[in-house]
Amino acid sequence: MTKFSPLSEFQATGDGHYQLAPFRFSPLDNERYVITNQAGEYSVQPRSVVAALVRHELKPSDSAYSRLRSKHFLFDSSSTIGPVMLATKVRTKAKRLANFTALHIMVMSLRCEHSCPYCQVSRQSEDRSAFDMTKETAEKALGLIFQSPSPAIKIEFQGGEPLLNFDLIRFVVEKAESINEVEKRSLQFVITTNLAVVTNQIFEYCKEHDILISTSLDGPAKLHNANRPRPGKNSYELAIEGIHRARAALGHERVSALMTTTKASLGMGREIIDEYVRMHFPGIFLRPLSPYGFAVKTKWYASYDTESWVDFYFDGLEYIIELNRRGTPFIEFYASTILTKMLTPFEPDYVDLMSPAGIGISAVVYNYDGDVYASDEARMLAEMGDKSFRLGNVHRNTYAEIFTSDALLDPIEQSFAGSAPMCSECAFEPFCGSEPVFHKATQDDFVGLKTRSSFCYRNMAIFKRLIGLMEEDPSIRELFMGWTR
Amino acid sequence: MQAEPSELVASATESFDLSVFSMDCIKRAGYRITAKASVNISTEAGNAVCVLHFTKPVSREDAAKAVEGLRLEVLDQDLRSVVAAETATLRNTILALAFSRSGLQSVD
Ligand code: SF4
Repeated sequence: MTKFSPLSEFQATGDGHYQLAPFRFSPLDNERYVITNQAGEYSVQPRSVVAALVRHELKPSDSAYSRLRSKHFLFDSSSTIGPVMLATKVRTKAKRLANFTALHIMVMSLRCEHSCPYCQVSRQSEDRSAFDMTKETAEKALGLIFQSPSPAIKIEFQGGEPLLNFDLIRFVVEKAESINEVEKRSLQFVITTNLAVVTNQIFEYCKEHDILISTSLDGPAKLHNANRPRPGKNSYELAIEGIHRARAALGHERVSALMTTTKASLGMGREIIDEYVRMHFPGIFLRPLSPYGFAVKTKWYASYDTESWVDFYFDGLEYIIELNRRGTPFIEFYASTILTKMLTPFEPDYVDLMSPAGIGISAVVYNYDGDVYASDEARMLAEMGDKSFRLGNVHRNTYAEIFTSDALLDPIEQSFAGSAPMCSECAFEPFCGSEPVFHKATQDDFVGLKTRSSFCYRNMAIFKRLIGLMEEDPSIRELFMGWTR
Repeated sequence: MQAEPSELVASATESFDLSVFSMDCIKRAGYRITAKASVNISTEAGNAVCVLHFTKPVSREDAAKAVEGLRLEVLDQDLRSVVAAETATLRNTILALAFSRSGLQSVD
């Protein structure tokens, strides 16, 4: 086994001598660079300071010196415990890896009475046997779920519209609760539903079993109904009524909503946010369309480019900051996830922004037919005919076979941003992810050429904007601190 | 002033002295401009000659900007190579400290 030299070997002794710590740097704009250390702490410095730091030309009397030392970009004789502190921070960031697979998504049915053109998977079908999960499959999936070492287990019921197979939801909830009497994990359930077919009995059941509701709200009525067609053209009305009823039954904070940005949404960012404020949601997740499933087939994915989405996002962010200044506390959740990475020692569990990739590690999907996929996007990709991320089947494979399959390990290893071209030297890597499913879908490669990746373009633009805003205005930094989790 | 279509160029060339910059730095810098151009690198009399083939023809001004971008990238890559070489052992030490508390570090 490799032995490393003692720390004393790396510690400079004389005044003005310092040891460089490992760090990455990338341009923020024409003059300034962002530099990040191994634990993801960042500093913004002129290029000249970065060059002087690397050439050992910085003096302890230079104003940047002590800031760079306190953030572990250099170690000198007065920071002898620096490497140990940095290592502790690295360990804290990596803690999530030990809690292997907390989120388990079970696809109850692909059937849905909506026919959203951007939906990745749903089917308009009366044929229950073709697209509903069976009890046998659910039982096998539960057996695998409880083999996960994670102390916290969240089971999310998805579809199609999962409530069309509500009897199976009841079966899974009760079976999981009974297994958990022995397992004693922190167990949580979420139903992802459009709320169009929900009944009071279902709400009562959710209350009794402490089930959270996650729904879709794309914005004001006109936009939502245009995005989400259903018989009766009343998706919005049903969603709003459902949100009110769900809150009354379960409690305000137990109901959340997600939006998807379509071409029609692009000019309506502020109205979409107003809708969420009006509905008393604590924040919004401004989400782009994903390059999977029907969104691609119906050409909705290609209907706007990443630059347009980034403009939409930045305008929304600016508006949300304005709202906060006017006294309405409101959060943009994607920014909140990134800011948690930037400003705290903790690592949020968000699959898209993880490296090693979050696929399988943070979330896993049990499809209606028993196939197991590495993430929700992975099963959507499979619906398009690319089953690269199919890890196995609950009826035919063991836990060990599924979680050590090449279909999981190969993309995780290959896409690891710490060693991927460009990412390995990118200052934003600690905030970013590797997203092998996205790059497989868009470039037919787990790693992808990052200079042509819309994932890279979008995220790098957001990282730069968030850091730029905090640099320009301390009050924004303070606001953003409040958004961290 | 707007360039006339006839002033559009499909490629541009820049050389780097290989006694100053390593080929690895030049290759890495070439990778980073692949959004706009593919880069063909050859050696000639101790220089690395980079020919940028733009994905679509660009004005002379944009071609000059791309060359300047490549030059800056090479300088950045050079700094990165210094950081990587100087901190390689320390980087491993910190990872070892972070992920293992037993036996990876020699005691003295
Ligand atoms: S994907 Fe882009 S922004 Fe993210 S780490 Fe890689 S190079 Fe940086």
